[in-house]
Amino acid sequence: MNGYGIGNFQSWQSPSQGGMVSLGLTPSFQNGVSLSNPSTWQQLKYTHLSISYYGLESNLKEMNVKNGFSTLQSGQLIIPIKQSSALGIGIHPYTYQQVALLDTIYPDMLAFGDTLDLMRGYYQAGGIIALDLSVALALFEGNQIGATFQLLFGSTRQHEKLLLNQVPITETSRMSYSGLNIEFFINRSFSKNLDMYLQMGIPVDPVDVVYTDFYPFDDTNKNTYHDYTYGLLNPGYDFPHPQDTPNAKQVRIKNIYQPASLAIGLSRLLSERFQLSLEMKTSKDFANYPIDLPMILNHRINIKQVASIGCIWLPNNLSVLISDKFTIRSGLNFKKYIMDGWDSVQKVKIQNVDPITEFGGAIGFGYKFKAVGNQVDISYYYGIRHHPSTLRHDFGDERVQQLQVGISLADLWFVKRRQR
Amino acid sequence: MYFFRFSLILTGLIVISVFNWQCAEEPIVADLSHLSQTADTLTLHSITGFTYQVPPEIGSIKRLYVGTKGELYFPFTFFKIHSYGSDGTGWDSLKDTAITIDSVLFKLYSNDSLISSDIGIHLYFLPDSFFSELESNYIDYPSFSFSEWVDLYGPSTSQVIDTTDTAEIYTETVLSWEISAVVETLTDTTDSNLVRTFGIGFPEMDSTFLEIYSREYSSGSQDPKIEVYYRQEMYVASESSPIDTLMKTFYTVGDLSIVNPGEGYDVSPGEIAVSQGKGFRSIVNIPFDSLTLPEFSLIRSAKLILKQGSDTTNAFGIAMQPLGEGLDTSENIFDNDPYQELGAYSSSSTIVDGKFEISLKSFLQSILMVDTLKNVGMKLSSGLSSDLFETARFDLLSDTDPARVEILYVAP
Repeated sequence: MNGYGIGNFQSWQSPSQGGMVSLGLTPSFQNGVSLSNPSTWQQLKYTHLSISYYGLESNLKEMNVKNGFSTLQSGQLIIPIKQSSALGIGIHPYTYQQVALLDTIYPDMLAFGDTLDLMRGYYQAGGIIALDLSVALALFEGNQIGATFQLLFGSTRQHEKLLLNQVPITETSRMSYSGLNIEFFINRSFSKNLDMYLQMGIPVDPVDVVYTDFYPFDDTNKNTYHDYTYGLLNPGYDFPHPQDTPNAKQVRIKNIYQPASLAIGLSRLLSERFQLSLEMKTSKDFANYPIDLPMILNHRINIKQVASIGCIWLPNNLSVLISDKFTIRSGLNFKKYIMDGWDSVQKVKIQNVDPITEFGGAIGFGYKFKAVGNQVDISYYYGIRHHPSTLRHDFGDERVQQLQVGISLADLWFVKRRQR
Repeated sequence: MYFFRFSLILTGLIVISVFNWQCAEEPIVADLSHLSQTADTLTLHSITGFTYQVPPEIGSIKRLYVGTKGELYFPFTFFKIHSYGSDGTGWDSLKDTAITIDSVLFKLYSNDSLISSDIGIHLYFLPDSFFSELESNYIDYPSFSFSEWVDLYGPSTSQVIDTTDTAEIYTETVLSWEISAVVETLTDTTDSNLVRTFGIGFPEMDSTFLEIYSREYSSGSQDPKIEVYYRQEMYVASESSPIDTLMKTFYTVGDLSIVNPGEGYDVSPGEIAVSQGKGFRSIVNIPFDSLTLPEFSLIRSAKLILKQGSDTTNAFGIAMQPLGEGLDTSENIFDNDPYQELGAYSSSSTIVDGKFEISLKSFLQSILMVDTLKNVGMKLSSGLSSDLFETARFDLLSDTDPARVEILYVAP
């Protein structure tokens, strides 16, 4: 997924959200609160600083390839003000672009009497980061609104390799992204037990990319970097000398990603401590297919549709029993990625591609401690992603596992201290 | 309570998952044929070239010669002796009243076991500067003779035999001159411009040929040198004055054989030649510029291949140096080399089985990358270790194996 378009989108920003595979609209953190939905933050009594970390493991069964990595999932500070408004700032990955592809199916090349072994490789790392600045406001009884200004930035590095007799000729490039989205949230309570949530995202400044293409080099020491270091394991120096190469070519490619989204969620408390949620979201990239932007898999995710159902067993804030301080979450979701692409040989747009689908479920729990409501959350997700065989690259079925761990520390801000 | 137990079990499962988690990066096998990088080959023919002749520069080689061999005539060889000995003291230290000089020997070494004392070569001395090791050549001495030098006559010779084994092994021949006659001049402290120059040559021009080691051959043991043997009285309080027998060594700081290549620009059309002794150098032009390969191409290998004709020369080293600028002239014999080198991207290689292959990779890659660098040709000259008496000739127009440049590159 990371190789399509600008990469694979982050699904969840916190283990509380991931534990019930929520789209972030309905409450998943505490009773009535979602860390991803500013319109619910007025419910918080304390300022919360949340940090979460996650690991992902992907297993392409048919290809017998297993990949995994772990990274910071998010960092977020939410400051509720007198339970009528709130401010928040957060940072989290927006898309992941780690890619490692290898193509070995080439006949040997005959060059001046020598037989050369040929392989191709493509390696990419990095992704887009989002800095969220959020504000929330209670309008009148049972109606809250919120907005998140999402500043997109970050970069990826690409290494395109042609291996001649196992020694790679590497062409390195870098993409630096910038863009701005805004998301509006509305929360309306129809009764004490039934809430409805709406979210609408629009692009303010579509994502641009500065594409920097460096001069290719013979990576003789096979350390991926263009340097002049003698390798003991792979004797020799990179060629040409890094100081001899001309300046990199740099171009700005405008409007490569212009997302708009619409989501709706419903949550209902079936009992005082048990909540059932239902959410649906569709998002579409309105940018034209960026044919100037190098994309390794020649496709991008044009439309993403997600539906999820989740439940949460909430803690009893008034109880002193340890067992009553636990939050238990679970949920199921279905994702559908509709793609389009570009045939660089025929110079035509590729449409009506069979979508990539994913079905998965998660389970998680949280433990609340101290009077202010500090919380530790852990969740585990397992999903089966089906890549259609009609795509250029038939990856078959992919098993995806995610483990998310987070901690939220709370404190009381904006309280007038009594004068001594 | 059930939820508490359930949470504990869930915690356990997640902890197990955490310990089993591992980061991994296994490349996924995929069709990457649409990537633009492509390996390709290019062969450049139409290689042209010509040979020119300059006075041979052999000041840095490991041998010195006197006499005639083949087409080359070496009328004399010069030596410049250091002002300081190996112990750091100068010639003037020998003027100490406590020192009595017994003998002063000028020594040369050769690996020719047939050299005898009646070889007929003479050693000459001149207390003046007379040559430059790296710049002097036969043109500087059109009618030279040793008539104004001090004649120190012929050497005595001895053979050094290694007797550490039961089989006695010949090591070297030492040519030694007793030069006490000029020791006063050598130790003269009044002349601040004194340069101790020696020369060897045959008073009569005949077919005798002498080959000796130059100062570049060894780290000192077989260098041309002067050895001074002397006695020194040691003054020790309340004791009689013992006498030590000592020796000082003064090595050469420059040595040069003058070679006359004779009348011999014998290079055929369509042929280029390289020779150290004859002073042959060649300029080769290949049709390559910054547009020859696609932009952003990377050269994996680029070889200039030259084939010899019927006469082959093995183990002959040749250096390639790109030219800094071209020269429009029809002359082919020069007193000084007029073709200025670029000073970068040079390489060297050796002829093997009559075939010469040399890498042009750095030079050609730089032409692709550096706008200001132009290909105005490259100079082929003999390596320092190549046989002085050999000439490597290459046939550029061979029907069977023509001169060419083979390039393996990757286009973006």
